[in-house]
Amino acid sequence: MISKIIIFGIVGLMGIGIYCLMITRNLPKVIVALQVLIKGAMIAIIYAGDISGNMDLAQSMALTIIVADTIVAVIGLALAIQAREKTGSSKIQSISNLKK
Amino acid sequence: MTFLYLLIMAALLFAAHKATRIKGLLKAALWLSGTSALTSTLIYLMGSPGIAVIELSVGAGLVTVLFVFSISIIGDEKITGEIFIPKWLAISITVVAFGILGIMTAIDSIPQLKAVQAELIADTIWVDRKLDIDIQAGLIISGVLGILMIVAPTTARWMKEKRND
Repeated sequence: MISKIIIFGIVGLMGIGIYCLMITRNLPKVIVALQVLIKGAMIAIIYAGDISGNMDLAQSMALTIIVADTIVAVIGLALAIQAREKTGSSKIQSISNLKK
Repeated sequence: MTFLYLLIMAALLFAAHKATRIKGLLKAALWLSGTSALTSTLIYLMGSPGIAVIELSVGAGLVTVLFVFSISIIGDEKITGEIFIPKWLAISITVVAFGILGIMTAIDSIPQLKAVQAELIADTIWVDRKLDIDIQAGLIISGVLGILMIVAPTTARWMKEKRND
């Protein structure tokens, strides 16, 4: 039963993340969606490590995911701030106007 | 134990849903912080206390601070959701995803969670996965440069005001 709950949770988190990625064009909100999506993926990797008996490898990969996830958030927020400063908007389209 | 998992998972999905659907950016950041905290609780229950602590401190701590700092610069703007994919596509993706999950549940092909406590992961990380460490070092340097980009506008404004005084 616990496995089913976890699998439902993973699918739910990834579904929420993908849905939000599809409907939003605001850069900070896209980062929130990515964070939710990555949390689902991280739980999936730890679950996979647990059922395959390779927990050390799964934990090592989860650590890399946490670092990469944080850096994605930092760089995305930095881009949003720069876009806001230069174009007055933090929408995704404004990034393409940064070079002008 | 099953009830605890059920409770945490329900709260996790609710927090994730609120984080993605709520209008204000600051509220979204706070709900995301709650999502991170609940994720770390779940990871702890699944037998990885080390990763749970890192997720809690980085996901619920550092990322939230960065979000709040960035929102204070950008401004907490209201977000309007505008769907730009066809409705039939969204519905069919959802139906397929939950259909596969339903079939897996029906034929009972979901492997059982053992929740074994992991052994010391230091050897795995520092010896077997050295490339991961090198990549993480590169990522952290990129992150530092990203933080400099975040604080640059505020610092520039402050220096300009200082020069004018």
